Amino acid sequence: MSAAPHLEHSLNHSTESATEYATRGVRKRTRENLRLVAPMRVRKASRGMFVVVLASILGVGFFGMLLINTTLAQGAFTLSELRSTQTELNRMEATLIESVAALAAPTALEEKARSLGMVPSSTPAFIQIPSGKVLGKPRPAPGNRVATPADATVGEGVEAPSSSGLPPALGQTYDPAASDAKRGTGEWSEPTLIDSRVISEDLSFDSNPVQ
Amino acid sequence: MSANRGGQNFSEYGTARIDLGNTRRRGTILIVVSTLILMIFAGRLIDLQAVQGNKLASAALDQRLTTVKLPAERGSILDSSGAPLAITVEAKNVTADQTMVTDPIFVAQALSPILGADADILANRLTGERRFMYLAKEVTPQTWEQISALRLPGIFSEDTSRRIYPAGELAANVIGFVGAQGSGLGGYEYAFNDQLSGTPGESTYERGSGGRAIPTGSSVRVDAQPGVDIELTIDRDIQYFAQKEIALAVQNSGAIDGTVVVMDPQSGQILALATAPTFDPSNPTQGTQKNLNNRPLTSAFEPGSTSKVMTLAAVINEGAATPYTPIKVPKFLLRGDKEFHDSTPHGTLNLTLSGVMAKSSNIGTILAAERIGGKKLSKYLERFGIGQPTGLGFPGETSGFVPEYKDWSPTSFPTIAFGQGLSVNAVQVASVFSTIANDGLRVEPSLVQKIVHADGSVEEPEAPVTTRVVSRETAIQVRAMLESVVGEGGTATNAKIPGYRVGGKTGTAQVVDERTGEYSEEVIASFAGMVPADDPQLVVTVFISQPRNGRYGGELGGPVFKKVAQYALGALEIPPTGSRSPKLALTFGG
Repeated sequence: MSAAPHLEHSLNHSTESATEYATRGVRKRTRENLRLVAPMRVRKASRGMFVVVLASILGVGFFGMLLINTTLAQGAFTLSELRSTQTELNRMEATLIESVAALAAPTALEEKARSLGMVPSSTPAFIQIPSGKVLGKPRPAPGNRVATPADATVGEGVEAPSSSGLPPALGQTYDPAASDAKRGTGEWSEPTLIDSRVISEDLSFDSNPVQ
Repeated sequence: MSANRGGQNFSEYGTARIDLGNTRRRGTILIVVSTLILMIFAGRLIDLQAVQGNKLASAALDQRLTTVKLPAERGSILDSSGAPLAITVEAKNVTADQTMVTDPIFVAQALSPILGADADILANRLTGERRFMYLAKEVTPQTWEQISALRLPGIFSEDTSRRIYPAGELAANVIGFVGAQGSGLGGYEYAFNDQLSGTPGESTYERGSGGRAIPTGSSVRVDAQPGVDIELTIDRDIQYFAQKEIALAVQNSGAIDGTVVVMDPQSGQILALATAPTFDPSNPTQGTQKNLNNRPLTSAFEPGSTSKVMTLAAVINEGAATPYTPIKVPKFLLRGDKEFHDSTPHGTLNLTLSGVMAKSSNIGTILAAERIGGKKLSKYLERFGIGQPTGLGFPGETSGFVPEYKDWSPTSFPTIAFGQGLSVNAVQVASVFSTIANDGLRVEPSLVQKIVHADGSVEEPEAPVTTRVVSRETAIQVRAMLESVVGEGGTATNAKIPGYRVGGKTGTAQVVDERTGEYSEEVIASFAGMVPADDPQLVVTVFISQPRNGRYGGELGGPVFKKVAQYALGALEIPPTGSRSPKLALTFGG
């Protein structure tokens, strides 16, 4: 019961303005209970607003589509770019594999070694570590001398091979003194390889080749 | 009446009015008609969507779907260290659409230097109305890039692959070769073709009008399974050396062909299987059929004196003789209806069993073999693997031939005892010597070390079958006898390797003339040996067929054995044992 007046009051208050507006000037001349009712005012949504909403939905849609398409296209571009890089790399790999394999083939290696003046070793021989005992019968390699052992000093000894793109062997030096003894005989004397690390282990070799 | 007429009039007058003007009826008609139309639409809709729906959708998908084959990469064939012997690389086929080529002469002249082909031939291939024509096959990607840079209209490329053999003729007889379609036609390329080729995959995707894949469309991709890599037991360097030496020996002696087998007696692994002449696997059509064969396995011949090793090992193993057993060797021996002689005429010789081996006496071998008899000998031959498949599974391999004991004629036994009347292949002989080298235990030869699958998993072949053929003591005694062959007074002194103990046996087997069926003057000279003789790590056999210069196994085979063995000893870092050879008496005091 206490809510009713409150409701009435609020109702009155809300319709008051519309009624007052419609009956302004009439009020005084007509009866109190008859009044002109204005058509119920429908709260009209603003047309502009509607257009904006639609346009924005459309806009977002289009923009989204564009974004997706661009992303896909971008992906496709990246894909094709990577594919062509891959193809390029595959080709390079194939070429490199082929040339490495061709260069590493025994035929090519032998040719290269021979052009450097190398010959196959005839009889294998072994040095037993740590006794220093020589197993087998080492013989000087057959063939013609292409450089006198004396020429093959440290600097020059490594120069010839390195000019052909081969790295010099580590820790190996020719001992010219040992070969000088045989100089002038016209006989091939084996250049003795002296490895400083081996010497430090208290090993010594004959300067003359073991026959 | 009047009312009736009036009514009629009214009705006549009003019919049109009702038809045109009666809104309710017009509405009804409209509704009925439009309902009918909509029902037709609905019906069609149901037909399209529900009844035929799936069929049509799949038909449409089929139109968009394309399937592209993804070729599987062929596996490589590698040597024992993994060095490539046969590999597959990317390549391009150059193709032309003749209708798009406006000036064939100009295009041909532009392509000619790049492709290294004759301009006239190219011009011919470019002229016409064909939409697809090969200009060159299996060119390198670089070559194609040069062509593509010219931007010639109507010239296209096709992805393909190329089988290359970087080492050329090296081990060609083992590797084999592939045909134009890239499948193996010879050797292990053929035997392992299925495993080498792998399984091709395929990619199925929806394709738009431009031919590009629709990103959101359905796609199925089954990747290709690359083929396996096959790692052989062949050592590339030893193979190369052996191949070079045998080619040289064949050339120098004017022989028709020759083979070298290098084997590790303990594992049975074949380190080199060389033959000359051979062929270029990149160009197999240039080779003659004979040279395409892997002779050490596909050609059978009479082993001759190298076979005496089996006979004498059997005699010793049976306890019927020792290396010192004296054997009186007469001038000739009559068995069946046949006289048996030694290769060089002699009076009566007083040889020990070692002497029989060292001098390679046929008569002495027959006399020794008679101590155990033919039945036992035939059993030993079988256990040594003669007349049996080697177990290598090589295409075209021969097992050789030994007549069954029950079929032996009176002359069969003496003939077979010294290596005639039976046939073997070179690997079988190597296996016999490996058995002696491996203390009498025969290990089945092998050529494939392992198979590496695309996912990196390694498949080891089954462990080789081992057979106890003779006892360790017998093997040691036979090896000592084999050393006397290379030693002073033996038949192969030039097989000696300084610093090492070498044991071996020469052979000079007569060749049966195919036309007459009789023994001809032609021979197969051979040497089979092992080193170091007291702890054998290597077995090398050399066969030289029908030489013109030189005749005997010792003089022709010995030096090849020496060079190949020396090289292999160095390559495999096998030091000498440092012990001394025993001096066996070859003759006895008579």
